[in-house]
Order: sequence, then structure tokens, then C-alpha cells
Amino acid sequence: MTAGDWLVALLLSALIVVASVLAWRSQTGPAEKVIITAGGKTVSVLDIHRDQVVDVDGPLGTSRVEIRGGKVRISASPCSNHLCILRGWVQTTGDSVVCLPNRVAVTVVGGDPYYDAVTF
Amino acid sequence: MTRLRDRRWILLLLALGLAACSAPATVYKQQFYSFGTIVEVSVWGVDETRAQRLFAQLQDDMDYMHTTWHAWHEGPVARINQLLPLGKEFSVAPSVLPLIENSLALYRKTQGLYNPAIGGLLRLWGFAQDDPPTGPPPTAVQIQPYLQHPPSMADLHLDGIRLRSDNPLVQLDFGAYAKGYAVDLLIARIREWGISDAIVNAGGNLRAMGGKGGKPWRIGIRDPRHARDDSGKGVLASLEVRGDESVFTSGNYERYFFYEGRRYHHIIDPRTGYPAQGSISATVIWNNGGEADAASTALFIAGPQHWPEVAASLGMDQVMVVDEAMHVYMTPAMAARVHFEQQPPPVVTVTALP
Amino acid sequence: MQTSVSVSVEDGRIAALAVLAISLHILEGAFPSPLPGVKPGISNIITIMVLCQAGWGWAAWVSLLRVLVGSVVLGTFLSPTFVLSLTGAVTALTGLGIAVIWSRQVPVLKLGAVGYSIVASVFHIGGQILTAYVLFIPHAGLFKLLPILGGAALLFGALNGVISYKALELLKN
Repeated sequence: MTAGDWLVALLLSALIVVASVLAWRSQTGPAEKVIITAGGKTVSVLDIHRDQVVDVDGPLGTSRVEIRGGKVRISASPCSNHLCILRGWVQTTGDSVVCLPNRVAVTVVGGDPYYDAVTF
Repeated sequence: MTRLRDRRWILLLLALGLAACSAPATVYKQQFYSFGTIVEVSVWGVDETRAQRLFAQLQDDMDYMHTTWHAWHEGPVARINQLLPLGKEFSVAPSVLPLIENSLALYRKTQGLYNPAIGGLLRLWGFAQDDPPTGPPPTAVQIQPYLQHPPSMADLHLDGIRLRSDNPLVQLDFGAYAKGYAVDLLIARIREWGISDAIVNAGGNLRAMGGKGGKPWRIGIRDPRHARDDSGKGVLASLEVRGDESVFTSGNYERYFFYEGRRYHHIIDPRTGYPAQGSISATVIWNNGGEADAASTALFIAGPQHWPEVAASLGMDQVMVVDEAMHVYMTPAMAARVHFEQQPPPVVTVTALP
Repeated sequence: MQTSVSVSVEDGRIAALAVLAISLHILEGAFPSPLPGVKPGISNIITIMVLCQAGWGWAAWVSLLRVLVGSVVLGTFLSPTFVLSLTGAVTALTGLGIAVIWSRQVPVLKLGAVGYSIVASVFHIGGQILTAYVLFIPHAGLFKLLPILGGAALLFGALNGVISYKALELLKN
């Protein structure tokens, strides 16, 4: 084998490793995640299949986001009308729960079927 | 010398290869709060820094339109609402003219069901602010004047930029049109940037153009039941959007409040003064966002019996209305496009327009 | 009027090599692969040998002839399999073209049979994955197969390269 052969083998191996890592990290795969934003900024990205409770701070106070059994909801909120809590559990990709007064949004991403946008 | 030149050629080839790799075949999304709702913008095939600059500009545009067109925030429309009850002619800020002119046409085409002249009534209900109210609802005595002397767009006289109202109860609230019109202007702005693949989704009312590298955008229609209990599975139906189309929904689950065990939602029927009964959601597909916005409100108010007349009058043939029993009514053109995502699918009646 | 078709010695040699490549191609098609999408691609041994002996132009002919005739024989002509096969061959040849120019311009790091074979194999699978994604399976999950398909391409590319190299050595002696 020539030096060029080794170089090519090395470069292409590296290329495949990098491409594989990128492919497995991209969010359109079957692994579903929950993105929590406050004031439009992403504060955390969580696995929808790991049960947990997260507190998110907004202008009015703290909203509580609960992930359980592959579903997510806002379970406590400092807003006055509690539309976000009444919305209940969400589990479909592209769907979301929003608390407008406290500027907190919870969106499900990844998985199938995938929606680029949801009308409601 | 020639050898060197040739090597440069190889470098160029490598650079081209790298450039092809870095062209972003992904969707960038950003959310921001404006117009009293969450606005989500998605663009395809734009690099991240450019996308960020675009998002910032869109937010500025949207915030500006919100204050300009809001019925009660200090601005041109709020000024109109101060002057209208005086019954004298006055000049209107040019930025509000397209809203008045388009609303006059839509008022006629929807047989008065889209009626931005009932701003006073909406304010009475508390649905005019950015944050939904918590009640109590207005009393029958408070609503009575709006039924006795119903304010309507027919009371307005627009001559150039001069405006006058015959009815002192007329107060303009473009809440059912301005968001759609704003979405249209954001899409136009995105086009100005030379971007042809994007979605602007303002609180569940969206306009989409282009696609994702030749693949259409996939749009979900949220299950109206989901807002009220946990039985819904999130998305009722899906459809694909190509080219340039708006998908607008009016639902009674978007803004509401409970008072003494009763539920009051934000879509007020101008004929009764109370939240419209019969529908739980109305969805329309149409090219123009502002018109789709007003139409979805009018079709919701028209209800499961009378929506076909309104749709025909508007010339819109892609309409879906869901009634309180989750019965779905659709035009044939709509039925051909939507795909129900639930098992079993809901009961559907396909109605051809008169 | 009379027409005569002259067959040069080179034409004949190409035809012979193409026939050999096609035979290997069909032989491979007869054995089911343990992993779908993973094939050793032994007919590429011929392509690489032709490349090293006669240059890129001849290699391109042999490779494209193999795809065309192979698909007719296997009955996959103009089917998705054929499209994938063709785009794989075209991207592999593109990669080989770049590699040949590279070897000419940078003699210190010029490639041998093994290097060429790896380039061809990786470009082949790369082209196929992209084509499959654009035309047949527009789902990002496809790219999750990259480690398997890419790894196999590297492995078989190197193996075929070594075989080509040994075969060329034998031919020389």
C-alpha cells in the first residue's frame, strides 16, 4: 500500500465516522424529545421517555413542566386563566403546550409522524 | 506554472465539495412572542446566521404591526376608536387603510359574520387584551345596546382617507384579520430576502410556501377535543402544503374562561352578542392569510348548518368545520387533501358548495 | 452498400473484462446478503484492475457496461435497483476521476489499487444512500445506517483493493 492509500483510508474513515455521528445526533430520528422555551429561547431539551419534572422561570413566575409515560404537560403555572394546564397532556410530534402569559412553550419534536407546523 | 494552476483547480474542486456539504438541508425554527401569541417561523436551506438575522427582523416587523393595528394600545387604530363615536369625519393613518378596505369587502362576503365593528363588544367580554380574561361575562344589560343598534361595517363611510361612522357604537377591532394580514406581510418580507421555503405560524394560523428541498411541508390540524380532556391524540388530521398556501383555524379552545361552571370562548357572534354556538373549530385553506383568518372566524360562527353558504360566497372551496359532537363537515376539495390520523376516524359529511 | 464493423484488439479486451465483471456481478446477485444493502461488490475488482492498467476511460466503460448488461440479465433494467446501481457506479467513477487527477498532481501521495478501491467503494455507497434518500426513502432514519453501510464499504473496499493488487502482481509476473 502506498502512503496515498493510507491517507485515503484514514480520510474516508474519518468522514464516515463524522457523518455517522451527525446522523445519529440529528433530531428527526425516532427518538422523541421535548423542547422547553422561555421567552422564545430554548432552555432545555429533554427525552420524552424519561419521566421528570422541570421548573421553568418566566416573567410571572415558575411554570412546572411534567414528563410522564411519553407525554408532556404543564402541571403548574403562575398565569391567571390556566389555559396551559387545561390543555392537558401532549404527545404528538410538532404539537405543543404554550403558556402565553408566562412566555413558556413546550414542543414535542422528532419521531413519526412529523409535522412542520400545526394549525389550531 | 501550469502545474501550480492545475493544483489550484483541485483545490477549487475540493472547496466545491465542501460547500456542497455545508449547504444546510435542514429546517431552522424560531419562536417569538408577538401579537399576543407565539409566532413560529421555519425556514429551509438558509444558513444559521442569516436565519437569525431574518428572525430578528420578522419579530421587529410583527411587533410594529401589533401596536399599529391593536384596537386599544396607543396607536393609529386606538385613535380611530377614540374619534369614531364623535360622528365627525376624520383622517385615517394610511397604514390602517388596507385593513379597513379589505375588512369592508370581507364583511360583505361573509354576510356580516366577520364584523370588526364590534370592538366594543369584544372589549366588554375582555377578549380584546393580549391575556385572556378570567370573567365574569358581561351582563345582558351591558350587551343589550349592541343588539338594539348593532354596530356594523355598513355604518362606516370611507372616502379616500376620510372616515366617519353613523353609529357611535362602532369600534374597530381587527383581531380576526390583522394576524393573518401580518402573516402575509412576513411571508412577503421573507421573499424579499430571496428565501422561497418557509412557514410562518402565528398561534396556529399559518402560511407556508415552498417546501423542504422538494418535499412538501407537512401540516397537522390539532384535534379540537384535546383542549378539553385527555381523550384526544393531539393531531386530528394532516395535509401537505406545496406552493404558497395559508391554513387557518378558528377554535373555541384557543381562548376561553370559566365562570361559575360555564365556559365562555372568544369567538363572539355579532348577532347574539354571546360566544358562537355549534362549532368547535373551522379550518380553511386559501392563498391569502388575512382573508383566511377572517373566513375561519365567519365559518365558525356560521356553524355546521350554514357554513356552505358563507364558503360559497367567499369563493373558498377548501373548508372543514367540526361540530360539538366531533362530527366533521368538509368540502370535497378539502376531503381530497386531508388525511385523518386517528383510529377510528371521525364521522365525516362531505358537502358540495351551493 | 457495404458496412464493415472493425473490432479493435482493445474493444475485444474491454468486452472480455466487462463480461468478467458482469459474471461476478451476477454471481454476487445469486447469493442473498446477510444484511440488506451490504454487498461485497467483487465486480469492482475488475474495474480497479482496468483503471490501474488502462486508465480511467476504460474503467468507466467496463463499469457502466456491467451496470447496463447486468441489469438486463438480472431483469432489473430501469427498476429502482438499476437506478441505485447506476448512480452508485457514476459516483464511484467520479470519485475515481478525482483520485486519478490527485495521483497525477501529487505524485508523493499517489494512490495504489487499494486506495482506488476504497475511494470507489465509499463513493459508491455515498451516491446510493443519497439517491435512495432523494428518490425512494425520504426519511432521515436512512442516514442512521451510515455506520454499517460506511463501515462495510471501507472494509470491502480495502479487501477488493488487496485482491486487485495481488491479481495485478500475478499478471505482471
